[in-house]
Amino acid sequence: MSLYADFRKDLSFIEKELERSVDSSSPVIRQASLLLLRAGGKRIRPIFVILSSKFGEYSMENVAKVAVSLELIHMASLVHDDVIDNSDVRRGFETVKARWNNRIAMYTGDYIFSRALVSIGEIEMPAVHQLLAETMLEICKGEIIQFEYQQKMDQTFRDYLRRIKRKTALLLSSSCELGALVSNASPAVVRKLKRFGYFAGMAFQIVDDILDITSTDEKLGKPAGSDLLNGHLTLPTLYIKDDSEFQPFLIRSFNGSLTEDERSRMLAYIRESGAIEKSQQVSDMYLRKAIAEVESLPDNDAKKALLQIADFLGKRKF
Amino acid sequence: MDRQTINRYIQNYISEVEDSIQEPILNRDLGKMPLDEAKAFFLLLPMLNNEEWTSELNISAIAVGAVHAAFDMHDRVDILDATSKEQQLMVLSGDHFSGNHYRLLSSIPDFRLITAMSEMIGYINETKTDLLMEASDGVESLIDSMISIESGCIVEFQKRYGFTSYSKITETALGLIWFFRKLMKDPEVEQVWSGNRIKKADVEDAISVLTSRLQKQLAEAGFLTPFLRQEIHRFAAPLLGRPI
Repeated sequence: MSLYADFRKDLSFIEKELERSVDSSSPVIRQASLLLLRAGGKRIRPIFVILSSKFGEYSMENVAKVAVSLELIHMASLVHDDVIDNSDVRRGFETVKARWNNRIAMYTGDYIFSRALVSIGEIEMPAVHQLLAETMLEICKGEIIQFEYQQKMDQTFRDYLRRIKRKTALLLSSSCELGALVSNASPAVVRKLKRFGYFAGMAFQIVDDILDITSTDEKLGKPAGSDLLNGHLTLPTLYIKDDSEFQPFLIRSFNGSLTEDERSRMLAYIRESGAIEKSQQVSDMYLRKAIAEVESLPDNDAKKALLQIADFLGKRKF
Repeated sequence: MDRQTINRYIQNYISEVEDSIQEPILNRDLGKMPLDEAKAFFLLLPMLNNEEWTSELNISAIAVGAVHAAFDMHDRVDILDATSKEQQLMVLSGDHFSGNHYRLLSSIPDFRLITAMSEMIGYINETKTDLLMEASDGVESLIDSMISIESGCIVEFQKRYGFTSYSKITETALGLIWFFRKLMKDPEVEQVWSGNRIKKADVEDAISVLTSRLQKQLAEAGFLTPFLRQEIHRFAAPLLGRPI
């Protein structure tokens, strides 16, 4: 990705470390892990770790351990999410549970998670481990709470924002905080980067939820509208959930009786309702806050890159 | 030390693990996670044998219990159909328990045990995967695999705190208990391993090998009190001392 051009060397080192980390003695786990790695992803967590580390005493070795760990935790959670969501395809690739079975997906996810801790275990900084452990538990708690909200109509914007904080913003916020901590950046800088990661993460997830409605099945690598089909109300749909013309679509999405034709009409209805624009405004508000945090940081290449990434997050189409 | 005291220690330990990993929604929808008393016994064995047991060590022991709870929960995920809410929560529950083991070890913090335990968790998942996908490569290999799965994390704990003299007995006894449960078609074991190709004859051979191995190890375990040696007999199997 050209956005990461200045940090290609660091990212390519981390990519190699990721492959090395999951070089399992089990043929199936090795194959499953490599499948996941090669399916790609934006590697936004590693890049946040790299960039945040540039505000302290940068050590590629330590940065790689944290970045690899965070990306592996993210990967492990995706493997388990595919079991929960019964998904056969992710990013256009067959999921581990679809190629093998649920149990192999559980073991692969657990294996990848264990490798994440092996990677970060070499960093002997209590604050780093305590932060990562708390982050992981909060993310998990968020997923458990998401079940409570599944197929519930009486959700508020605050409920949604709390959910996406745990689902996405926390790990991005921790990526920045851990990168800064591991390079011994000053407490003020750590705090600003943590807040940048949080605001950028909120914007990132809102854009993701918008794309679930405005993008195509091909670009998404899964059916557009999957959030609704899985019983989750997201920001655009919260804006129109009480609309009498939209409600029949919503009910049929939640009870699994929506036809393909209805799915297309439902997505078109949301797109034309103004809900996308309103959601984009909320995302832009978070991005402005993210940018404000970065602007007060010392000037360097990493600062420029963080500002470019914030800009990209707001405009991305994938 | 008598049996009642041992049971009290085990139940206290199990309560401590439950308190450390509990989550209200999971408790409500899945109920309490049953924790394995035999594993608890072998984890606590050094303490029951009057070894020094610090609060730090106790936290690490609870972390090992959290790992076992995570394994047990993920082993219950149906191999083909995990679409029910209960199954979906089992996935998250295992992740939650696993996260708690890391939180506990980070709170000490014990970096060496974080790494060693994680290496072992990775290895156990590799072993389970291989056993699920391929026929085992003879009885010795099957014994080694099951010993790692059943006792690997406890042995890492023992290594970390200088209790390695307990490791061989722990490995053999927990391996034997598993093979015995497999032979008896224990529903919990069957649920996890119904899809694999472990042969009955291999299970019987493994029981025979491990029974004589445990008897020899117990005869040589002068560091254990006679009562604890008897208790290991009680936990390891009603098969001990009987012809197979």
